Amino acid sequence: MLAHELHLALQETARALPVGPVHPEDLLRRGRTLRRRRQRLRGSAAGLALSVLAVTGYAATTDSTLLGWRPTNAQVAAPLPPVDASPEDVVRAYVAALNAVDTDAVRALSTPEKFQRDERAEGSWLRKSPRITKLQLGPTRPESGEGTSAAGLRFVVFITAEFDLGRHDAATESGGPTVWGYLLGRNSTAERWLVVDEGV
Amino acid sequence: MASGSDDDFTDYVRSRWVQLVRSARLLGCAPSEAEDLVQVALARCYSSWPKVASASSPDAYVYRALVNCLAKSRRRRWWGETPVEDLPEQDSWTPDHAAAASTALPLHDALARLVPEQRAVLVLRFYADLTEQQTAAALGIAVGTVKSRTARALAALGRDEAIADLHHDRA
Repeated sequence: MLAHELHLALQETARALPVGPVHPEDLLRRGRTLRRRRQRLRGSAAGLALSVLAVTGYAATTDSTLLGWRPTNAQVAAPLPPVDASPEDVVRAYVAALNAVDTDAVRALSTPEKFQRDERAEGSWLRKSPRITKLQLGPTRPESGEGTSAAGLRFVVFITAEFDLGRHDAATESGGPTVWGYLLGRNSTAERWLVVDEGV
Repeated sequence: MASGSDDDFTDYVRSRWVQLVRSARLLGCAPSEAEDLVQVALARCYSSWPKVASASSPDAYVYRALVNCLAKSRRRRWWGETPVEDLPEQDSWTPDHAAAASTALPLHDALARLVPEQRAVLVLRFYADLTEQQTAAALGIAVGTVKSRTARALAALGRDEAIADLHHDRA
């Protein structure tokens, strides 16, 4: 198909798509709320940055680790949990790997299908690392996996989670408290639980 | 009280609303989802409006927000969804749109069969009329990638037998 053919056909296609009226005043109200939330977040971030600077300065002057922490610019490899780790430990390690931009660890803790899907996806957290903090896991419940990406796996569980999602791009994510869920599966008890899918 | 910036934003919204919602539809949104997604994207842009308005291409910025909102919504709507061979029924077409729909539906479906990255490039380039540079900025990819994805997407559409009539009608 030629480009100019597609241009004409797309305009024709689009004209057939009904569009409701716009309400700019609603958008302004929504935008103002979002702007206020961002300003509050910036204020909190500035406070946190000052605290980090103070701690960094203290650690540098005393030439010692403070509470076992030493400031560094290097990416930290996320440790993999043992093969017999619980689903909850796998999720914690998976989130730590995402935060650390440790692609190898993310790959090791995901099914190959999920990893490939995330590699291809435009907005994937593999491409735009999130800053997930205050991770809290809810109860783990067994699932059949039917009708999901885990179909065919013998053992499937679902874990609910809540965390704070840091914003990484003004045009991308507003961040903040996020309710999430992880689907994990494996085919035998000798295998590690792997993340099959995630989302709300 | 509305500021000058608010007036600018309102003017922009009024002038682009229809095109943005239709772009969202072409990008793969359901009818009920498209308008909400565009509202979210525009609200985000409003919170940084001075920056958006002074950008070399405000449209590219807004489309970047829209594409990212769509990616985020897709990441969240995974539970219970599995890929299917046959596409679900499309939304109902009003009588006023029936004539256009007779040729439009096959292309809409053909776009849906492309991988999302290729679909996005085609919609931004050939419906939203963004340049290659603006499309690259909107999608956060290199201009060369826009070119290669466009070529592959056009080739894929060319191989799609469901829209073969469309080629012949326009030939």
